[in-house]
Amino acid sequence: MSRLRSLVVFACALLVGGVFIVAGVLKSLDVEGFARDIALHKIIGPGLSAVAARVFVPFEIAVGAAAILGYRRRWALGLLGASLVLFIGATGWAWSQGNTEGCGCFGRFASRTPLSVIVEDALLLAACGIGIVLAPRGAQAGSGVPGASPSLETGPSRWRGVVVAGTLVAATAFSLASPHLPIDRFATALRPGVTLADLGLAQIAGNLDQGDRLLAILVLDEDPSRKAVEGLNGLAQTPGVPPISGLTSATEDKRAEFFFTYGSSFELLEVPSADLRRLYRRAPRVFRVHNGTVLRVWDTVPSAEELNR
Amino acid sequence: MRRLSHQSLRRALALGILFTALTAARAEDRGLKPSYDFVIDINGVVDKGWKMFSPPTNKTRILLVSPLGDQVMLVSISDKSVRPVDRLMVKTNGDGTTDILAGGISATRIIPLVANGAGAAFVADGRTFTLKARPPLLGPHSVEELVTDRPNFGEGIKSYQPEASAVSFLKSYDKPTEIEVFFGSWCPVCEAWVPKFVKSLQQAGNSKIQLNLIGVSRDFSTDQNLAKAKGVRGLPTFIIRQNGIEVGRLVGAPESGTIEAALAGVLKNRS
Repeated sequence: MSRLRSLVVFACALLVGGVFIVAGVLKSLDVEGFARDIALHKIIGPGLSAVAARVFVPFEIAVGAAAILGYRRRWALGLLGASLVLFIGATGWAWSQGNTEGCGCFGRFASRTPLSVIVEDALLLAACGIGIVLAPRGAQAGSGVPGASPSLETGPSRWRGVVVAGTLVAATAFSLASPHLPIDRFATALRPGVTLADLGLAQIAGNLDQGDRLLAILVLDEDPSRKAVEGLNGLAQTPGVPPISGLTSATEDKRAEFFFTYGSSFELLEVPSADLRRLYRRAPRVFRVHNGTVLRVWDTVPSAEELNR
Repeated sequence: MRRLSHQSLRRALALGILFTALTAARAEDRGLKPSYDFVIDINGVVDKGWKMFSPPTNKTRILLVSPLGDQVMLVSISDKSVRPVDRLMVKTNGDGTTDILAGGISATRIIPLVANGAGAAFVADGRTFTLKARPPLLGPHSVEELVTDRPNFGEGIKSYQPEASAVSFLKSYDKPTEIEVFFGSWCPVCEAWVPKFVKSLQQAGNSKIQLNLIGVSRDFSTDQNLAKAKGVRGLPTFIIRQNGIEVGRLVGAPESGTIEAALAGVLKNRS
């Protein structure tokens, strides 16, 4: 294989594989959020979305690694290309149905329009195609790394298979464990010291940036948020606790239904879904704000003592 | 002997606590403030004559008073219950708040409250009452319409005493000015500041300053509506225009001073 050709193949594999690895790693920080994003496309239900998210994230990382390492590269690029066709189809279908939330392979870390997602995926698909056409077949296949040592150029060696398999196992384990790991600080934009303006909440009705406020992120159709109402109501009645506002992306009707069903004594403010989903992996998430700056964050409803500690 | 006296003391204490619990009104049933967050629908017809009161920190507890004052009920959304209240045990205070006196709430008659989507219903005296969220005032409205729908805004206008120097400036201002006020009839910050703004302009009585009140929904920042088209990102927003061109904008509570002084400040810069 000519040096230029192997360089092009490696560049294509690095580009596509790299994007899949980065996207997979970011999504593995919040697999449940990715599952919600899939469900928002309304192609498959929430249950199947949860399974798909847990399968797809390790798959993205492992196949991306295989493409870069040159382990069965044509197959790896073929699988990544097929995934991109699937993404383009799903995004286009969801777009045609008006379900444009949760767009893009980076989940909540990069919010884009359906059109930009389709264009990006089409470019990556083209790179896959070029890589597949130019990559050597069968016994000719090597690592494809330009200038690599002869040992790297001798077929799909066992060590690359071991690395890919190890990556798959590690990515699967991390994806399954990540919802239970204390990594919200890294996986979300909400952390002490940031301002409401940084979080895109400065303009929400209710003048949240004035004085002391306790804000609770709630997903109204999930049990943990419903169960949090009792604790938040208790805090709302406790002297010295700042005014409480619930933040949700639910519509006005859904908020009214929630009020009458669960008796939330605090106000519920609407935050656009794209802004809110950057702030939590699991709801409820509660944070205290003073003059627009986040002071503390809790991953559950704190007690009055914890609040003032 | 010593044990007996301890027992007696304990009994007396327990009886005292029981008596207090049975007879005293809950602290939160005092100082109930008028609430305009809900409407009552009786057998499918909205009756705007019913008055409602809630503790300031708990909107899930709502005292309903019929238009004639002959029927009073206490709704608890969180307990899913409605209890009749003795109308003679309801005291209206000079500051507009209401107290339920000790023993005023029926301890024995409890009517179940059933949540049914965006409302909650109960049956009393053979009639079906449905409590619903009060729809917000949307679009352009006159001050009279605002006050009729939300008397709390009217109370704010009535009770406010604007800053004399700012009113004097607004009275003598001679450039034709149009002020659009985007507000939420549901928004507490608007309830605090819009009446002050309206009262100041009413006192100024300057026909060259035209006021347009525009109500917006709770979802104003996400709707494709007029507020979004005009870049309204917080409430209330006062957009000040001269010859159709925006010359200033006030958003939310003023950082310092009064709202009329803030308006005068914007207009002074255009003099």
